[in-house]
Amino acid sequence: MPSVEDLFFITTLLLLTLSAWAARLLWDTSTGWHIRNGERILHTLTIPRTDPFSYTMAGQPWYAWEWLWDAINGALHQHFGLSGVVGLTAMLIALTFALLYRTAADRSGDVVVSATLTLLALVASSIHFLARPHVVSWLLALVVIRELDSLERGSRRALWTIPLTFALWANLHGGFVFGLALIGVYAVAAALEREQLMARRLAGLFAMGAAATVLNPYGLKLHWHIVRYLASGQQMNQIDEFLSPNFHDLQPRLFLLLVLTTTATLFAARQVRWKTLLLAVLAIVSGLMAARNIPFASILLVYASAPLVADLLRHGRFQQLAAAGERMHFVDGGFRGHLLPRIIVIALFGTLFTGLQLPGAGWTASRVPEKGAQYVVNSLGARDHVFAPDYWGGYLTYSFASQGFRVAQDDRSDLYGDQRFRQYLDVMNAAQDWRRVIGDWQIRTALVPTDSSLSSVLAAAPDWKQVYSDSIATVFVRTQTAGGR
Amino acid sequence: MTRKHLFALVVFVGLFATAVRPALDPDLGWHLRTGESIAQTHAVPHQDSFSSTKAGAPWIAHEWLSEVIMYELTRVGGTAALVLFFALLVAAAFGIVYTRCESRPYAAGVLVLWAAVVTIPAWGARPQMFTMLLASAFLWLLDRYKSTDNPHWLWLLPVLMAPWVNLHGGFAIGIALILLYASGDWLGGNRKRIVPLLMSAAACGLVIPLNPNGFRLYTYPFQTVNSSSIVGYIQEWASPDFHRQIYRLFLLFVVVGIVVLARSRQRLTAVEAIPLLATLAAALGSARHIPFFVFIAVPILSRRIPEVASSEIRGPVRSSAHAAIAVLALFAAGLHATKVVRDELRAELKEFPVAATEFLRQHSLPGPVYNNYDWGGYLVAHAPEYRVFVDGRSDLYGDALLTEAVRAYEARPGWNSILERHSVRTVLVGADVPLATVLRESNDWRNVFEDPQTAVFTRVDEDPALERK
Repeated sequence: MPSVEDLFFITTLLLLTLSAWAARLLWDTSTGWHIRNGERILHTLTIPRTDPFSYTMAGQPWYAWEWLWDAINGALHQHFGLSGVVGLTAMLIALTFALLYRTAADRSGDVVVSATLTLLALVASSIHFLARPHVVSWLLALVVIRELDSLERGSRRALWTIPLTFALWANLHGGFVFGLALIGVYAVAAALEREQLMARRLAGLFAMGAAATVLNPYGLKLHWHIVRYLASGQQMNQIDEFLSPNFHDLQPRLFLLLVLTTTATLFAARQVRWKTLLLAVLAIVSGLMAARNIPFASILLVYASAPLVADLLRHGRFQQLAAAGERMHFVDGGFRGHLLPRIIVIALFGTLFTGLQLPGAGWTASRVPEKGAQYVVNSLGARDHVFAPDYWGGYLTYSFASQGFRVAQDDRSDLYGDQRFRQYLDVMNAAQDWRRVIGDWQIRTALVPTDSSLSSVLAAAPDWKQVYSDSIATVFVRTQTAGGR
Repeated sequence: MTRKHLFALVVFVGLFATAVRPALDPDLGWHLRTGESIAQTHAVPHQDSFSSTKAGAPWIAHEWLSEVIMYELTRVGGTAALVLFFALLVAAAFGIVYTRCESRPYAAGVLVLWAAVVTIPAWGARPQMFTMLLASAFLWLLDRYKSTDNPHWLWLLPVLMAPWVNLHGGFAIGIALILLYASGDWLGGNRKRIVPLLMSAAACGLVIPLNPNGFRLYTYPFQTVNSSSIVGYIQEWASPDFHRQIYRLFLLFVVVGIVVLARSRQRLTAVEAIPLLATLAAALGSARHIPFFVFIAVPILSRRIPEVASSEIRGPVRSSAHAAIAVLALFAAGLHATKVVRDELRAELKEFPVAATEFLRQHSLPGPVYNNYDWGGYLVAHAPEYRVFVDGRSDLYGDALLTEAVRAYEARPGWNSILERHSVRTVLVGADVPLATVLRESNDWRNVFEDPQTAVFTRVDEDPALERK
């Protein structure tokens, strides 16, 4: 019999691979340049130091800090196409939430509470279910929490698993910063609880983890680069996923429900340890500051609230429900081995070996300018000096980099910097200065969303001519230099 | 006067001084014109007379009483009277919160000031300040009932609801607060308090039709919150943006509140928790609900901060060295808060299109005029011979027209059809907005006025003698 943990894994994996969700995992086209970068790394056996994908930043330093993720996905793509990339992402997400359920259940001793909270977190986190390396950070954050908890129980395993985890993490995704924050929270909490020995151990672990993150191709320069990037007000205040959540949408509302549940249980609990409180605060602050942090925050909130909710039910009006949850947990504990998940994973990846593709594991037609881009590259023969939205940059690199195509801008916002990003926005938002930027960037062709301000401006401009249009994208070419308007 | 009284006085004088701000609300113009119309005709308008797009359409002027007060204040004492009056409303609202606090004056004073600062984005010479004051008053009465179990306090609620219904559409919040207290009592097992609360909520409900629009005000609040364009396009209905400094102070307030309440030995009662969590959810849903959250949170925190502070910060803090550090920290926090308030004011100084409006009138540019949403109120007041395309009466314009206005503003394909459909002959918009950019490129429109802030365009087939200024 599959355990509840197995059911979480299997259901999530199958949903993300066999339903329309498979396509949603590819809604962010930055997956495209991750794949091509990975293939380059495998081909050249070197990690890029300068940008190979744009003409505007050609030769400029580029921190490909997610190189290991790129290389793994590059390999998967070479053998299994986009299905391989989707399959890996789906598996990591499924593993994360199965492990979250297991962690919550172990802490609370209640199946109903743990499953309900984990399900809430899963749906709330779906806001950021994308085939990008941040999904690794969710899993590794949970691993770090579990290792720190094992240290509190007396195990010394964390003394080598933590540094190893961070050494790996620093080469997969910049979210290792959150991992260090977690250790910091544990250390501060121990100090506040006057557990001096534990506080010192955790401080030492923090230092070891931080030192391990230097083991990356860029060394300490990577850390400084990340700090400068996160301190960039312009980009943090303009890029959608870095904005505060909009609580009128479904997933943020579910996150809000988790926040309120956790807050309510903190207020009602008989005793709240500093660790639980500080983890909840870290979760709430990070989740409210940026929508992309909702998954990380949701994981922390489930971890913090599950035992509190279960305890309240046991001592409140819902004792029968609590008792049922505990009995189910006892029974569920007997189902070990994870046989069914293993079979399903083998079956899934086995079909990929036969050449079959996951249904829906492809770019969503309404989100990529497939025909417009083909017109630009094949009919017009353009290979650079093409203006396109940054969110199409990854798709263009994926589809046409092998033909020598180089983008003007994509969503590697840390590469392009604040000034170029401002210029890009001036054009995308049809600001007064759009012509100056177009001139400075020597743009000769524009591939723009049909329903956009820029499309209207170019249609009205006397020195631009529309040469192609469909429901997704419209192509304009520059005909002459504008004079005297 | 004792030191404590002096401290409290300083807090409220400071609060009042902070609330005295330029009258820059974008809707002030049409509020004053409406008030003027009511004062002169002795009739509340039921149809729109300010816009070209909804001319003659039914309009629920639900803030008519506020508008009359605002007009009379301006007529008698100019803008200064208006500003001082609304600053007084804000100070009074927080003064009532202060009286509900324990740990007066120091902890309560600091908390009230902090709470006031985080509500600054909602302040202004606008009818919403009446809702702030009345909501605060409602909470005072509900707390009196809670502490005395005397239902006579509740009978003042419908008495306050009667003017509230005629002052601002936020009257529904009063009933919501009563129901939240009732829910808390039900969950907390204080069943005998529930019936009087429900009866007073019912009485408040019966009072709602006592307004010029009658029973229509029963549905009006729900139409507003369910409007996708109001919620989607209007900033203060959006969730707080925690990248703005002023809302980071709000986030800090929430975090400190959570830590204090979690560590306090005084467990939160149900009648405290339900309103607190419900208003927190409302505040995170829409920034304009932040005041109601802080009105509820501040007294709850004031009861617990001294206990938490003394239990978490032990003996050494009483030494002079640590006290000096605490004073320095408070001073630094105060300086930072002052800077944030000043920056917020600068951000709010949305320059109105003064020069462009004068140009519009001097040259008698042809109407109808398309304008920015935020400038509609200014044009209603300062260019009364023109009808606006859109202004802050989003409930009047509705989702369809607001969507059209946004599509035109953003120069999305079809912008030209929108302007043609509404027979727009002059466009007055920000100089850097997409519509201005596309009109500069268009052969059908001519740029007749431009300054760093505003651009004005007329159709090419209008008076050819009209040269660009």
